[in-house]
Amino acid sequence: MSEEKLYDLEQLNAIAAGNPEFVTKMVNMFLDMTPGLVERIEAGLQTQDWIEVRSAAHKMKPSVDMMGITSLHVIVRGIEGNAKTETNLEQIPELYFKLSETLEKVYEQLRNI
Amino acid sequence: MMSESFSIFVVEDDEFYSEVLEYHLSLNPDVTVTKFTNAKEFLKNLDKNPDAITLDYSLPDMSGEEVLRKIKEYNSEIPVVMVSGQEDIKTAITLLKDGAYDYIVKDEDTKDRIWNAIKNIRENEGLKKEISELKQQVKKKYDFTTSIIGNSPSMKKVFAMIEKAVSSNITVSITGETGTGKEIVAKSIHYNSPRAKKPFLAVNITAIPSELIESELFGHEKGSFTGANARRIGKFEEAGDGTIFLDEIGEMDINMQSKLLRVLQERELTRVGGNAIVKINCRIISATHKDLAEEVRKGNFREDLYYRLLGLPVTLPPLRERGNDTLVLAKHFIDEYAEENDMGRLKLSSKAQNKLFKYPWPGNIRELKAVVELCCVMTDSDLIEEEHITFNSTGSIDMLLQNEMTLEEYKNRIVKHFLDKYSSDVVNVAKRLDIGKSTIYRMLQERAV
Repeated sequence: MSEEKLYDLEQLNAIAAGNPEFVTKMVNMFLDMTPGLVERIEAGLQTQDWIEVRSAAHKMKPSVDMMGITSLHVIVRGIEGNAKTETNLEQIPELYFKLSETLEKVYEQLRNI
Repeated sequence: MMSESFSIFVVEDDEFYSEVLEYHLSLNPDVTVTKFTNAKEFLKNLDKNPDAITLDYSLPDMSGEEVLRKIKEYNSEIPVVMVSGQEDIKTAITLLKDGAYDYIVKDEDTKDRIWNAIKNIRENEGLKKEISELKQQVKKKYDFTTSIIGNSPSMKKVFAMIEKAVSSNITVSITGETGTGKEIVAKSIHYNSPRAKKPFLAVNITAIPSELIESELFGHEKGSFTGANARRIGKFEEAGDGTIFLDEIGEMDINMQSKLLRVLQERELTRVGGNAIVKINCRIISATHKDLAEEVRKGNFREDLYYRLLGLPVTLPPLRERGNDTLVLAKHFIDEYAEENDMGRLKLSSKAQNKLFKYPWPGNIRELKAVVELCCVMTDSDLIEEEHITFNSTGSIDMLLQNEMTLEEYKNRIVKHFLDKYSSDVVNVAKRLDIGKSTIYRMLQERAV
């Protein structure tokens, strides 16, 4: 049974205006950049550097939205918002876990396009 | 204008987003995009003067406010579209107050909103350039040393007065017959004065119904009279720091004269139906074909308003008193017409020159221009002959005298005119001209009429 598709390239395709090379370039860029941002969130969590956590989550938002990963829309904003206000900090590790887990699946799905 | 390359600097530390913006904006072949991922690198390149900047609010090395401030310090004219990851009304207001062109939040519609902002910036830039070019053209057009033509002593006096008007802020009153160029003189004064970049508003008093003149000049508030569906500012307010030209002021209704006088004395007005005081700062230039002093004597024009408007009087001579200027102007209009219509150079024969020179030009320069343009159409060669010149003036007595006929010929012409007018009713014509019927019958018999 095939797994549910966690991304949607509709928005990227609309911007590409019929240029598949642009879509491929952006998918590869997402695959190259995002793991680094996830690592930054994890490192920030370990050292309780909430500025770093907020900054990495903030930077991840546009690409997650653009790749149509709707399940992460609230999660990435939750991490950013909590880290920014330093409230509900106990929620961040769980949100991070969901983020990381979902992204791993997305990477795999994107590599198999 | 719009086909010139439009340079956009995209300042964005998120490489993914920056790539998307570059691609989207570059879909327009007229646009050149340069990307920067930090403020320092971007500021180093600011001297390249981009046409627009999209600036990420959260750069790693400098705050959005600070980068915006540095851009505005360098060149306040460059439009900056702020792009932020978060919707923060307070920040947005601060940035807009600091001179940002727009504030856009990153979401799925951002690219379209940025594109619309850039499109608006380009259109505004195009309009700004167009306005600037038009202002230059207008200034050139109304450079009085070239736009007002004439070498006659009477015109030299006019030039001297215009120079005085240009270099001061004094109220100016222009008098002259119809067609002598009163509005051109008013525009020349305005466009050569320090107020040149401000508006020039011309109001022809005779063209506005008397019941609307107050509202036209001073504006009105919503509901102040039937049909006043919205507040409207008047010409005095619209003129701002520029010039208002009140043409045919001698035709103004006496009641309106007292309202105008109060405005000119107080330098403030209230809109029709309103209470708020509005200060006015425009220069006043008025014009009339009437002898205003005579109108004052007759009681048709307020003496106090007359002196308030008089200021620097510029009297434009009628064309018939400008000697050789008639031919100078005729040649100018011929050249102008030939150029506008891609014709070769046209010349006036000496007989044609003589005919133009002798005519009294009751319609002044306006009439001369119309006559000359018709000559240019009528000729089939590069020479304008006497027969190509047709006068259509309604100033018939001057024109009739211009023909220099004998008294007998004039008499025949007059009787013929009346016979034509009254369907050859000899009795009626004799009575009107106070001559004997037999005189007319004799003239008819002799085929003199």
